[in-house]
Formats: sequence, C-alpha cells, structure tokens
Amino acid sequence: MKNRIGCQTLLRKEVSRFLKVAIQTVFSPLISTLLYVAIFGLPMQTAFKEVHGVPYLAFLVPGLIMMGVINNAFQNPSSSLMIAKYNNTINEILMLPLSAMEKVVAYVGGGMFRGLLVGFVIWICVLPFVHLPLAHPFLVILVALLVSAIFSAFGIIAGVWARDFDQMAVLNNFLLTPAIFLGGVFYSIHNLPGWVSKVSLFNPIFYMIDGLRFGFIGQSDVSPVLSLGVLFALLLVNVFFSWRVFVTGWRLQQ
Amino acid sequence: MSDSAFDVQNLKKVYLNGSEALKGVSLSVRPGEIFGLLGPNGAGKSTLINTLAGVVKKTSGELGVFGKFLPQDELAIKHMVGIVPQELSFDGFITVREALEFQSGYYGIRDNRAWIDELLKKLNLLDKAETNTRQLSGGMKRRLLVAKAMVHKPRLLVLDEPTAGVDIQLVVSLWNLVREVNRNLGTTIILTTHNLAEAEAICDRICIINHGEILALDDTRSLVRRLGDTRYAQVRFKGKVPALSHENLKIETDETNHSARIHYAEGGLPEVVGLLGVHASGIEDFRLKEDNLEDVFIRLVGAS
Repeated sequence: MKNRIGCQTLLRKEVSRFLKVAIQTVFSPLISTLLYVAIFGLPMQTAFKEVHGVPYLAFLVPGLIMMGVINNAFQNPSSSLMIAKYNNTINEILMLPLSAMEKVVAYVGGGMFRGLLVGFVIWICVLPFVHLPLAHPFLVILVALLVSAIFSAFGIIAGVWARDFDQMAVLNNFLLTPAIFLGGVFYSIHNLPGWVSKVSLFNPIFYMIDGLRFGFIGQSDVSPVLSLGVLFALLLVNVFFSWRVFVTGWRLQQ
Repeated sequence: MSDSAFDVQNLKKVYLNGSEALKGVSLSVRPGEIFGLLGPNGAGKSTLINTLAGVVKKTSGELGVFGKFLPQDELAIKHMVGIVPQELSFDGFITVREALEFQSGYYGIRDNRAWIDELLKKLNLLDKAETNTRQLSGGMKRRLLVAKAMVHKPRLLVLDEPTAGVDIQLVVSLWNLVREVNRNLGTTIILTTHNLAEAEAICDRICIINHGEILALDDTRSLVRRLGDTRYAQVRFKGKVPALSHENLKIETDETNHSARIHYAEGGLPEVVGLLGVHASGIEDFRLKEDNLEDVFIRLVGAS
C-alpha cells in the first residue's frame, strides 16, 4: 500500500460520516432489532419453546445480530457513494490519489466498522433480556468480520451501480431484505418443507446466519466449516469485483 | 516533451453518444507559466481537464504531467496536480477545516494546519473554518474548492472557471493568491475562464479551443498582436458621416451610428489626422483603439 495515510484518511472519513448521524446509523437498527425481539421473539418463544436445544430467543438473536451487521456494512459504502453522486462529489473520489485497492480497503473498512459496531451494540443491549451463550467466541468474531467485509464490498458495487435512490431501493427491497429474511433469521431450515429447505441452501446469507449462530449457541443447520468456506469464497468474489469497479471506472468514468 | 508541465499529444475523446469532444489536440504547457485555456461552452476545455483529473477516459493520444504519462503513472500525476472543478460540489457532513484536513490526508500529509490556515486567510474563509460546508454561499464554496485544490501545494494547479459566482473583491484576492503560488512556489497554472480581460491580464500564454480543436496558441501579447486588429481610430460624427477615402487606409463606416473605423498601419497616424482634419468641426468623438483578447476571441470562435 503506497498511500497508507491517504487510505487511512478515507477510512476515517467514512467512519466519521456515519458517526455524525449515529442516531440514524447505529441506534435506529438497534431499536428495530429490539422491536423484532419483542414482537416476534416473545410470542414465538411460547410457540417454539426450543430450537436446536436452546430457547427460541437465544436462537433468534444471532440472526438479528447478523441482519444488523449485513444491513449496516452494506449501507455505509453504498449510501456514501450515492450521496456523493447527489452532492456532485463523485468526481472527487475519482480524483483521489489512491489506488483502486486503497479505495476498496477504505470503503470496506468503513462498512465493516459500522456493521460490527451495530452488531456489537445489538448484542450488548439484548444481553439483559436474553440468556445468550457464547460457545465459540473466535468463530463469532471471524464470521462477523467476514460478513461485514463481504457486504461492504457489495455495498461499493451497489453504490456505483445504482443511478439513483430508486434503484438502490430496488436492490434493498427485492434482493437484500428477502434474502436476509429467507436466510433463516427467524427459523431453522430443518423446520421448512423439504424443497424449501433445499432452496435455502442456495441463499448465501443462510451460511452467514448459520455460522454466527454456531458461534453463539454451538448448534447449526450445516457444518460451520462449510459456512466459512462459502464466506471466504464470497469475500474473494466481492472484493475482486469492487476492486475492478475502481480499476475500470465502471459507471464512474465517462 | 518530458520537460513540459503539461503535455498533450494528439489527444482524442469520443463520448459513448458519438460526440467528438477532443479531435486530436496537441499542446504543451511550460513549467512555471500561467496558461489560459479559452473557448466557448462545449469547446472541449472541461473534457481536457477532466481527462487530466481521471474523470474522463481518453479515447487515444498522450497526456502527461512533468514527464509522467497516463494511464501508467496515474497516481504520480494525481499527486502533482490540484484541480478546481467547474461544478460546485460539497460534502454536507463536514466543516470547512475538516474538508481541508481530509484533503491533506488523501495526499499523505498528516499535519497541514499552518498551510490550511494560510489558505483560509488568503481566501477569506478563516471565519468560516468551523462552518459546515452546507451552510456556505456559492462564492464561499468556490473558494473552498480552490483551497482544496491547493492544500497539497501541487506543481500543476488547474482552475476551471474559478471566478464564476465570486464577487469582484474576492476575484482580486484569488488572482493575488494564484500569482503568489506561481511566483513563490513555482506552481504552473492552467486556467479556463469566460472573463477574457481576466485571462489577458494574468496569463503568459493563451490557447483558444473550439469544437475540440485548437484555433490559436501563442504568448498572450503576440496572439493579440498577430490576430487582432492592432491599430484603428474610432470616430463618431455629429451628423451624417462625410465621404472618407484614402489609398493607404481601410475605412469602415456605420451610417446608423454616424461613426467610422479607420484602420492604419504603423506610422500611419498622420494620414488619419490629415484625412479627418478637413472634417474636424463635424467630429463629436475620436478615439485611438487596438483589439484586445476579447476581440480576437470573438473573431476566431465566430469564424470556426
């Protein structure tokens, strides 16, 4: 990395940008998650009793943490790039004396910081209400790091791809949110009918939630090794394409 | 030419819609000079600057800065160049000082406070240092863009219409700052402006461009002398323009305005005086004039 200070500066700017609006970027997702716990978790706790041998709330919370990590890691670079388009500062990003990889590192770093912060805050805030084990803490950290990096890199691609906030909303509402909700946040795929359970295996977010859940409760639908394999592969793919976005100037350069 | 501050050879840009913004432009800017790039809207000036900035990809040709060339030396070029873009842009999340600190950091400068304060002072932004950029007026935003472009003391400073929307007092302070960095730091300046008097006053050399082609490139004075109508007498009569003719003088009359323009060569003023002497009582106003850059510009661009 030739321009380390430049890369650190862009990363610092990306972090300071979301911290300046922390109510919107950190506390809003926290409130949403607590509402999920209250509205879905508590009634279903009585219906399901236990899933994978733990109380339903302990099963649910890792999924909700992962939802917070994914959404926020994705939103940091994507909204930063979208706002840059609207503020007319997108050309400044092209003019920066940073290599494509330095830009990726800064944007991914900013997204990871936000995703992990939101995930951590959610975890801390639900602890008083939910007895949540921590079976494999290093796996929790590794999965959270991988997922936040994957979705930060995806956020770069989405932020460059979307021409306006409408297109970004399409991506959010028709791809990301359904994939998260159908990825097993609220249920185990073993509880789904056979073919639906098999379709879920093609949803990459399933492996993220399942891997994090294994880290917390020590139980999962598939092997955590498989989940980690999927995550490492996705990380490589997303980082590669986000790097190519800056190398080629796709949708940025005229 | 590797000793050029800015070197462009046969540069072409064709946009995806097929419009040819640069048709093989070649020019060279010498280190330490103030170079004016003039042309009407859509002439290709901003395309040229945006190619240097990395915002536009060249279709073909060479573009270099101090011996470094695109695309292989893109980062080295970016470190040497500061660009004030034509369009106002701002990041609404940060203050003026933060904007300049971040900008310094991008260029690898950790502590730049002294130079930032000096820039703020010279651009009359010191009292706005802690103000959010969103709250700045258009002129202030323009000055902030100038400060951002200069924050890393670039070897080549490009100002794309930097005085648009800036009041006259600040225009003066901006030009003082530009002259100062040019003189004291040896910064090469490339300037585009629609204010031709401004360009004539400040630029060492001028390039006039239109439809993606160079129409003229020369020292500012030589350009005006070479392409301008250097000497003429503008005469307005109280009434009808009398019959004027002289074998050595070219005379244009304008009956509507009761005026005449008498063109003369060097040493030809006595002939003008002799011609007008017999009509002296009918003259209301008499002025000796010479073309300026604006006259040359209008003539060249109009003919292209």
